[in-house]
Amino acid sequence: MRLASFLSLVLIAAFLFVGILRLHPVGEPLGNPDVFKDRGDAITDIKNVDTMDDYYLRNGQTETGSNNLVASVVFDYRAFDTLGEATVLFIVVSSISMLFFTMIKRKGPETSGVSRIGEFPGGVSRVITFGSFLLYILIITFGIYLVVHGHLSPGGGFQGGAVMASATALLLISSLMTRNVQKTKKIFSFFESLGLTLFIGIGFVGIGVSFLSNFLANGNPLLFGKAIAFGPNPGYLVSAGTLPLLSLAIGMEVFFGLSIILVTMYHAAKDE
Amino acid sequence: MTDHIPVLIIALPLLTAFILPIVGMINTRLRNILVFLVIAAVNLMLISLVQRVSIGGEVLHYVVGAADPLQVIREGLDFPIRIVLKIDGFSLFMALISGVITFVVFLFSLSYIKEGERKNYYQLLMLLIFVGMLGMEFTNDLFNFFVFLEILSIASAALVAYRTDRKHPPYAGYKYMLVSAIATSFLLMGIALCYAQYGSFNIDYIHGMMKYTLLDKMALVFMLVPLAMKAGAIPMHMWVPDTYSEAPAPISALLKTASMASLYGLFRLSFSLFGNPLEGGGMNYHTLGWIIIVMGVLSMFVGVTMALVQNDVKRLMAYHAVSQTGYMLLGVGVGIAVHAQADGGSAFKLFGRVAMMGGIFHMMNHAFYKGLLFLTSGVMARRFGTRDLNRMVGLAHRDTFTTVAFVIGALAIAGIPPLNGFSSKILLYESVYQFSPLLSIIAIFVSVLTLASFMKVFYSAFMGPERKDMIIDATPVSKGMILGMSILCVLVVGFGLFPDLVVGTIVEPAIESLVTIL
Repeated sequence: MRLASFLSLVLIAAFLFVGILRLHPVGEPLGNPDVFKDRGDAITDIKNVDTMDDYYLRNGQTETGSNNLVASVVFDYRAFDTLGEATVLFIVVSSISMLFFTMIKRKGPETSGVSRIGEFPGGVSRVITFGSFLLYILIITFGIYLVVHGHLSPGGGFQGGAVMASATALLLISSLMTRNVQKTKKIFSFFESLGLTLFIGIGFVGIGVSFLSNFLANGNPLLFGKAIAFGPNPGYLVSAGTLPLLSLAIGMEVFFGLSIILVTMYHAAKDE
Repeated sequence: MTDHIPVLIIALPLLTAFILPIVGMINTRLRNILVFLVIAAVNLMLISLVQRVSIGGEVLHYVVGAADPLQVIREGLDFPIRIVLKIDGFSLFMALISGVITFVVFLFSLSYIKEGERKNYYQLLMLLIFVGMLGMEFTNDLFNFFVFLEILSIASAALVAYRTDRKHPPYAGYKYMLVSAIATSFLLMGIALCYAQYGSFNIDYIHGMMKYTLLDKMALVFMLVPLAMKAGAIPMHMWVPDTYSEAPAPISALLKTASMASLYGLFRLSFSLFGNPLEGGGMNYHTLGWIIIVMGVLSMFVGVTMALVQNDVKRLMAYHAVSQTGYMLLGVGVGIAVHAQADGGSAFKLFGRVAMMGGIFHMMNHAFYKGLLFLTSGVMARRFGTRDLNRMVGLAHRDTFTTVAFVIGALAIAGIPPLNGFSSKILLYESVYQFSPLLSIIAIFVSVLTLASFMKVFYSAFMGPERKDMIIDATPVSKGMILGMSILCVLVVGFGLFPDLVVGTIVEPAIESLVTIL
């Protein structure tokens, strides 16, 4: 049996290896080379593109007003996939809440605010709690920065949310968040749902054009509609239309969702 | 507004699922009404599309996020740049199955699953499985297909493990999770191979560019094997009995429909993505057809022989699910094998089409009678507090309705006229006989064994003296459960009595849209 599994592994590996050898070389453009020959630098002309990724590279920045092309793909061209991915995270959070529910219920609500982690008889040392509190503020600030600048610099909702959730982990281990698990979870769950509802709500508002369309881009500068030029530039915080809003919604969902997972698992695992 | 129906069908249940935790905190009755309304609304929207799509033969496109949602390819470009949803006859056919089963499952679970905070999550995940199925069926984008498959798999895995107070369900959920993770990651690899070559995810676009290189054939393997695995075809069926038997009964019915969505993916990709026109060239389609046929015949035979020896009622039904999946694979496999034959498609016109029709009609029939059987198994298991057939007796004395429902389901799965199982199996027997008599004989033989196996269940659980001491839970079957089962009963009997109506209205357009290769 072990030999059979080893052989099948080797077979699949060989199969994949043959495939890799025949893949398109990295860095070479796909599509018709004649299209790429004579187009120079001044391009935002959609007739001059031959493949989908080439279209994104040429037109993504001006069309969506986002300097971060990854964000323009994630939150505009393929926003429907992002909605799906956010749903996957939502499912995971809901499943964990559901499956660990009986485990936490059985232990009952936490009566004392004192954690059993740490060697200090009355709880965790003040150095740790205060230090964590200071770090908490810093991490949250950095996370918010990443979320808000998602359309300008590397980062965005998913990354910023994950950074902020790591601050929740810090609060947990420094025993600043041990009281009343169920209530904490309810508040987190409310804000998680709110974030997702905001995301899909923006999608529904866009239905005047089409679902999840970027109806604010290149419109009113007060409503995130400032247009930007092609090429390297610092960009504006109020550009890119619905992109920053969607990024904010995702950031909220990821932060509260991951926090629910952390709180649930911490309380389920603590006494074992 | 009618232009936006394709996306609303997916987005409305999604929005409901998102706000469900908040609504559940406020009032559980309100939550039930909300979920009921949204499932009913989606079903109504699906039925409203039948006129346009199935009867009118229209193909609906929706470009998510574009300035004009109906224009698939923007002017001046040769390729779509956004996610495109596409509804044709086959998508709508599958979505109708998903809609009906989800509605029934919701009604059945209303009182079958105990009220409590966990029920919020139960209904939420149920809705998201629905969203996953609809998304897989409506999308025309490979990566989007993967995302919805992922939604469906993870939500199903959590619901399989719903009864955490027992020993086995968490393990079953874990197993399902593991199998899905392997399957979806290989599927993603196949999608990546397509993307690396053609620079697009759009199924129609890739099909138009398809050059049938070695990489394309690898992509075919990487896509079809995981989907067959998720559908529970035989060499990859090991997760089916564990998962279906440990999940709560309504979820087993829903999982069966979910695996049908994977089967949809298998058929859809083998035609719409890799299918070559009748003029030939490219891929050897005959071999692909035979691979699917062999998989189907093995599933049929091994599934039913494994079912014969089971004593656990839900395991038995799960093995029958494997066996019935074989019929669908057989029918469509015969269709694929003769589709691109050198005779210019005359064999396809003669019997291949009918075989595919039988296979695809069987998907719908199977979802209905198997759903019904799984629901009755829930009543049985609850009454006796066990799934062991040796410890069940005389249920017919107290649950008359459940008995009738079980008999209808059992006769339908064995292919007895005038129930719906017969109407699709007769199409299969007759057409497959012209392709290869042996395959047809195996199919009939498997049906006989199926009948024998369900007779066993009927005699041991429903017949015999009334034994009050063996009944653990005597709560009467609630109205929601009866309503859910009776909807399926009516559909099973109705589709058996008027098969031509159903075949003409929705099955034929489904075949038409599947085999029409642009």
